[in-house]
Amino acid sequence: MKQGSQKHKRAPTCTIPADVFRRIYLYTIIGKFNNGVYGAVRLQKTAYISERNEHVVKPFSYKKHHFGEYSEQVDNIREQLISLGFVKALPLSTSLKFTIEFDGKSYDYVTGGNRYIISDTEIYELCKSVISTSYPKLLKSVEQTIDQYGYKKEEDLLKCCYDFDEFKDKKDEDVIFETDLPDWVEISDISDDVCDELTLMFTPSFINFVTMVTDGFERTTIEWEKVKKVVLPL
Amino acid sequence: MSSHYKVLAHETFMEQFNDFLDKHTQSIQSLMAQIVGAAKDPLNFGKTMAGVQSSLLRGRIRRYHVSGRSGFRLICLIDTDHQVVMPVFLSSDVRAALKYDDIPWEDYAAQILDDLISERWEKFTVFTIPD
Repeated sequence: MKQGSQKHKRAPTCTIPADVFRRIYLYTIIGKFNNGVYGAVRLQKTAYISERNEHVVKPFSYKKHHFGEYSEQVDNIREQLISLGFVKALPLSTSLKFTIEFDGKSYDYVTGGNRYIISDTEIYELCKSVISTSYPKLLKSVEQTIDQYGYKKEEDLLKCCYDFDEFKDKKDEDVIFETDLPDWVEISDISDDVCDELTLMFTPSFINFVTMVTDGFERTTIEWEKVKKVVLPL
Repeated sequence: MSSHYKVLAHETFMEQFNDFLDKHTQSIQSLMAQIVGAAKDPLNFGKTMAGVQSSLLRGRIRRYHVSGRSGFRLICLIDTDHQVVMPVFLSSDVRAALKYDDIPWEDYAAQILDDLISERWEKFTVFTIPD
């Protein structure tokens, strides 16, 4: 029985959508590193190596890219975690920061890599428990991957990845493996209410929505006399 | 003068609200109890989203269960400065079938912001709650 089919000793107490699970999973990987993840490439490769074990579920799909094994989902979710405030991207000392002036505004652009750190250890512990109760072998695989590969020099890490048979056998843009995560992931030992809150916290479109509405109301003075009044039908 | 917060809803919420009243008649009483509870005890009734990282949002988002934990979800924004509760989402699906990623949040935000900026107050409704 492969782990992706989820074996439960206890009845699941809640479910979370696959996309939310992926965000929680990537957050857990970042949090598992001591002192953060040095570079986006390292994060990509850590997620890849953790998943290439045939006995674990695969949250992300991977293609052969000219820079190695690559998942667009990992890059997108990393950016989402930053925009949600769960992950901080700190420029590495080797990075270069440019300020670009465009259309009267200035934009900062960093090249040469970031260190990614989590911003909330309490949320991290919760995320880790989501992964450990739903896919314990996946979490174990992440831990083993980080121990074995996570702190290698980037060039050594890349060399290891280029030497994997499944990579050498593929052409550029070939799929190496597809995600097999179910649409809904069952979680045991966590209350439905906690799952609900986690799901909302890790839904960027919802957080953007409440941010925009809150900000809009902060800037507005409501003219109450012009607002329709309805008696609540109690 | 009333001591409770005003409940201000945009028409995007009113559509969800009216749809809910049509479809889930058995849950109307529970829904009303949540709205009244939010207005009368805005900082204690329901549950706050403590894990939100944004300082702008911290303490402002509250969630409520309609017809129990496995039932529907109501989400409100709390503005303590203006003493306003703004219901912004009411699910038409029960919790187990609810996929927040599929809700058109960006459309809702665009409509609400546009009506705020254009001062189209007729698009908003304030619920009167008897003391």
